[in-house]
Amino acid sequence: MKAACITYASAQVNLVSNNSFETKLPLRHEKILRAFIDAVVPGCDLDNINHLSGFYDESLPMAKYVRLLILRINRMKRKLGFYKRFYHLSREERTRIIEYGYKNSKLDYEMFHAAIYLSQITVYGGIFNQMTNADFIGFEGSVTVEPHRSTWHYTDLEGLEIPLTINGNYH
Amino acid sequence: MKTLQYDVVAIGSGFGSAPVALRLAEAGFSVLVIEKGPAINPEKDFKQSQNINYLQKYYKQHDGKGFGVTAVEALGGGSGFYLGISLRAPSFIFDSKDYKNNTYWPSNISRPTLDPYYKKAEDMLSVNQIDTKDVSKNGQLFSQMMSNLNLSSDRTRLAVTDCKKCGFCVTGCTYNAKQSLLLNYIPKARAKGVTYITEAEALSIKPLQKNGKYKYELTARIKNTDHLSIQARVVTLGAGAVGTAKFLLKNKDNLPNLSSTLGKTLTGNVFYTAFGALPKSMRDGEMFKGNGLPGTMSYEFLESHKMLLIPYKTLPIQMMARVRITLTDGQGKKSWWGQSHANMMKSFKKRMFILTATSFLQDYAQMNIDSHEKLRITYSPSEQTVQRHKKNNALLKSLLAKNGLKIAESDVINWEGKLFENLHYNSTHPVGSARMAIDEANGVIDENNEVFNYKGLFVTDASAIPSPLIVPPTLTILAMAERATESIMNRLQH
Repeated sequence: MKAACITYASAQVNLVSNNSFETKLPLRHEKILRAFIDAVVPGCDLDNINHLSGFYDESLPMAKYVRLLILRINRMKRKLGFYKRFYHLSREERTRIIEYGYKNSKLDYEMFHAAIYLSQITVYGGIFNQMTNADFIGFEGSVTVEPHRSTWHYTDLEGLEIPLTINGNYH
Repeated sequence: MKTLQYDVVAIGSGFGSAPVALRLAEAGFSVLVIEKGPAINPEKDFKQSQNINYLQKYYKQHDGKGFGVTAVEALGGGSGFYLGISLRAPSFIFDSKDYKNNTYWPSNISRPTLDPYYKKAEDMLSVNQIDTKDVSKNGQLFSQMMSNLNLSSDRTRLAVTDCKKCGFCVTGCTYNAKQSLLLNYIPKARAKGVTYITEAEALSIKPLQKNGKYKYELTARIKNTDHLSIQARVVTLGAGAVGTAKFLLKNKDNLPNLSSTLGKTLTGNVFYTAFGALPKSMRDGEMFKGNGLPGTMSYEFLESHKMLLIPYKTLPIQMMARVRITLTDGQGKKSWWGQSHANMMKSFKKRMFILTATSFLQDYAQMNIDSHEKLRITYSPSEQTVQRHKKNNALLKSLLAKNGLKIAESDVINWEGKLFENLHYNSTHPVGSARMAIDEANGVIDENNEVFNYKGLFVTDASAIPSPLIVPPTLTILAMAERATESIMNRLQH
């Protein structure tokens, strides 16, 4: 199974009032996915609707397997002796479950690996965000106003080069 | 099927074709350029975006076993999406040899003979050395690190004017600051009467009768539906190191006397990368804002290690999709996901530093067309390449470590996010797949860029360049194409 995260169309999602997203998944599945992403990227904004996009966008391969992923997460959870819902477990417990699933079988390795990679691309890359910003890593995305010089340049660090060339071209 | 007739048909609209189209039109010849990718209007079409759909419209990945190539299919070729570094190839490159000790370049091509053409290309692209006040923080920190070790660094040269510091060079400059071909060669060529047809894929070429006015007939598919037949006195191939060789390989039946070296000498610059966390004694860097490139580089190891060092900045998607970085945290934990990884990623913008080097691949990848008409690229590194890989990576890490940076482990990953099992290179600077040589036993074209045994058929893009250059090849591709126009004109006039 390929986590072919570059081969899809990004879909717009509407946030509905009961804090679920129109993902065509049951709310508890969304919660499991959010809890998964939280273990992979601790501290990310779980209310960011775009972070789930990779898992349900039907032009992406993962959308076909997301229910199977959720089944496997729950199976690994029970194998490790946890009986609370996945999203009620602590982050350390959820991390243990994901680590276990990653090593359990070839199928689980493929599934969990793809889900981890997708979570990272989505959160750290911000690829579903309209401004393609990624708040978690301080990436502001598209720029409409030239940033102030002090944000990208140190005036007192100018001219530290010991040049080998006159104009930047090597002889 | 409609048949068009032109003096010159150029396949591809990138760096290899731009001078050809313009100069031949200026000389009064009729010129048609057919480009496989879409048209681009910079003001409307370029976006500051990491959206994969947008990027995939232009970027094409050719993955092979051991070697991959990232290319662009669009009007202007890679010029819309490159970083704009514009450097002349060092003199010693033209005397260099491959891993079997064979000289790459014909003896009459050297840096001094190319300098006038480099100047022409630089003037067209407004290339200048970046000003001190435009160097970004990471470029300044790099110079600081190098001078700490008594090593040299220089400010780089860019085809950029009045940069707005958005950092989205590689997704297309929305401010017309980066000088893609869409701002100079192409509009000037259009003004001289050159016709551009985009979303047009050249399918076949065959020689016509020798005593006719037109020497070649091509077919092209327009927008996946219509077909066109074109007769030309001269055909120039500028579809890139992958596109040109692939086109010729697919037409071997029509061109049976092509050199057997076609597709067997694909090479190029490869990249080494080291990541490090800045020590407390060093100031914050800035990974995202400022020029797309930090603005400094070092030639210190150019001749000794065949490496050009360049500090690097990256859009998040570029890094996340191709590299796995891990850094041991304060508790001794290290993982490519989870808390320790998230901690590292939070510090990425200001406290992580990326040092890359472009370097010289001395052996070759092979290109073939399989029975399903698909392109296959295969590569096995020589022992020399494997040793150089280890040595150069170690050097990059040691430069950072000597400056107090904590080194992060980094591994290249494929498009599924998985590690490659063996050494795998991906090049954005491929060259040499239909290279220039002194005879057809060693290359596909002669020192005038004309295909051996096929008068009037020329190769003018990166595939013609016989050796990697260590520096980015765009300026050399332009210079060589400017030079080639003289031979092409000569052919048209006789």
